[in-house]
Amino acid sequence: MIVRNCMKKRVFFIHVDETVAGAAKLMQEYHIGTLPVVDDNNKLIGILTLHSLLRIVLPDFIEFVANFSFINNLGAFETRIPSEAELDIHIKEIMEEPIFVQQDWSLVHAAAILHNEELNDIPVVDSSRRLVGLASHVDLGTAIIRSWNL
Amino acid sequence: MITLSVIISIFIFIVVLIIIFSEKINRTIVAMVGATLMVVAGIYFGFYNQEQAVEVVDFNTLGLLIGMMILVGLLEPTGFFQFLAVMAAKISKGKPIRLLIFLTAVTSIASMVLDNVTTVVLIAPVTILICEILGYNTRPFLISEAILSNIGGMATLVGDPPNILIASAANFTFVDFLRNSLPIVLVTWLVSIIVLNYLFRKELQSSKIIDNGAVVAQLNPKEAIKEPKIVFKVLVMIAIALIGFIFEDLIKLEPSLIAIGASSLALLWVNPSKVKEVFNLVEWDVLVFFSSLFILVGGLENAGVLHYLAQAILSIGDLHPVILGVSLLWIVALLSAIVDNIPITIAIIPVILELETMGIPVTPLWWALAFGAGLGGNGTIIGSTANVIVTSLSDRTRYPISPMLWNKKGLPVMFISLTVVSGLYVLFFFLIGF
Repeated sequence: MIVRNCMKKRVFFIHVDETVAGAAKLMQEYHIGTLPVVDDNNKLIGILTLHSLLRIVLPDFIEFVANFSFINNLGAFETRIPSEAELDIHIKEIMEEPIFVQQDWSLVHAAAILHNEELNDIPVVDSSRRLVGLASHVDLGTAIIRSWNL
Repeated sequence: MITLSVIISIFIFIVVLIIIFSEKINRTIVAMVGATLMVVAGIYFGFYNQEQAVEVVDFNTLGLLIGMMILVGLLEPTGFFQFLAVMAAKISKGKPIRLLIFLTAVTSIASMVLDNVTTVVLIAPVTILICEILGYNTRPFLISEAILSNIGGMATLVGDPPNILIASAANFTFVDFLRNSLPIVLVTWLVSIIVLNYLFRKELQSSKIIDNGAVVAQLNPKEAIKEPKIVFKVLVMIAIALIGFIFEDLIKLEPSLIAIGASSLALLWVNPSKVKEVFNLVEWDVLVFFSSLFILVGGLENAGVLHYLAQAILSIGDLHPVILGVSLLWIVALLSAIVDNIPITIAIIPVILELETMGIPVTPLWWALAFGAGLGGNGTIIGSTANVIVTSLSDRTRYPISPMLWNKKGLPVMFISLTVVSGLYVLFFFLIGF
């Protein structure tokens, strides 16, 4: 079986010229955590996760201090919301390099990439790298388990 | 007469310095290659040999550095430094100026005993945490910590590598530093913190967003310490080493032996499960850098370059030791603002030793070298390793520190502290005597 057979074909994606505010609205409205980023030709050029959006309101120290069990609340950061300027940031500035699979790759191949990269969802593209779907680890994993003849 | 040996050795030394200061290649690699070239050139041109190269390596400096690095290596993973920073925040009740004073005081005191780079590496991240939860700009705190840790390190024999080098060459004891350097450092520290408070007066306004008192009240410093038993054992051994340094004359042991002894006993007592990890925290590259510089400068010395330099200084005329000392202090400081102060110190030490053999009273010059090397690094972003560390940390935060910003804050502190130290130096010379 190949990825195309188990991926979600109705995919929410975002154009590269959009801002953080636009991405946040989409994620909130449709309850999604991964947005593939595309250009004018629907070509996959990046990936935006909820984690990247939340990073805007999280403190910087989490990058340096592994153990912060000596604090009970984050003080000034507990109620922090993004500023106008932060909401206007173009997503191309915070998106990550896309990790993707081809629609005709095997499920195990795709599952191995997901496992290795510690991802929950992975965009699926055609041979021209145009976005055609999205596969979650549940989509791929349950499809693989189905072949176990339980 | 200038010989071929003089020209060759100067050429190798200057090329090495230029490459080190260009920062294109790691400084240790450049120094190693340079040291090898110096010995090979010395053998072929008859001014230096392998035995002499081994003799010029100051094993007292290396031993002291290794011993202290092992003690820090044992203390580093325990969370003790985080504990100190969190305690400082709690005592400050979250008020910005008090927080700045307490955090920099902790950093400076730790830097007096331990390597100030390690101190800054461990305290700066917690500083960012404390500032963020209190809603403060991190820049004043990080810049002040680096500057005041550099100043704090000047106070003791073990506080800063140039001091270790100078003590070894001049036969200064730990007590000599406490007597001559500590009082000057205390005054300079106070002046510098006042200047920093003034320079950062806008950023150090109290936050109105949250109740700072309540935020720091919830901090639990004890939670920061992961291994209290190890902290106790290592602190006991550091205290024993310090007592050993103070009574160095009485027990007739070199500081290096005391440091190595204390670190060996600490290793034995703590018996760390991951010994390799402790030894990995010893900065071997720094030790190789030191050794290579010793060998390079040894080449200059054996070729007669430093003798010429000393004669050139004498030929300027009959300079009063105070004028010579203050000039040296400023020259070394200005050089240290743009280049690493370790090569400068290693290169100047033999010149001072040469001047001593010519009958010049050199004790004030040693102190001038120590103060100049310690203060010069504060002026620019690249002046000291502590500056580089806080700057690179800040680059990953909302408040990056640019070279221009550092110059705006660091240069005034450097010039004011140099002026204060020059005044104290003159006073010390005439009233108490070095």
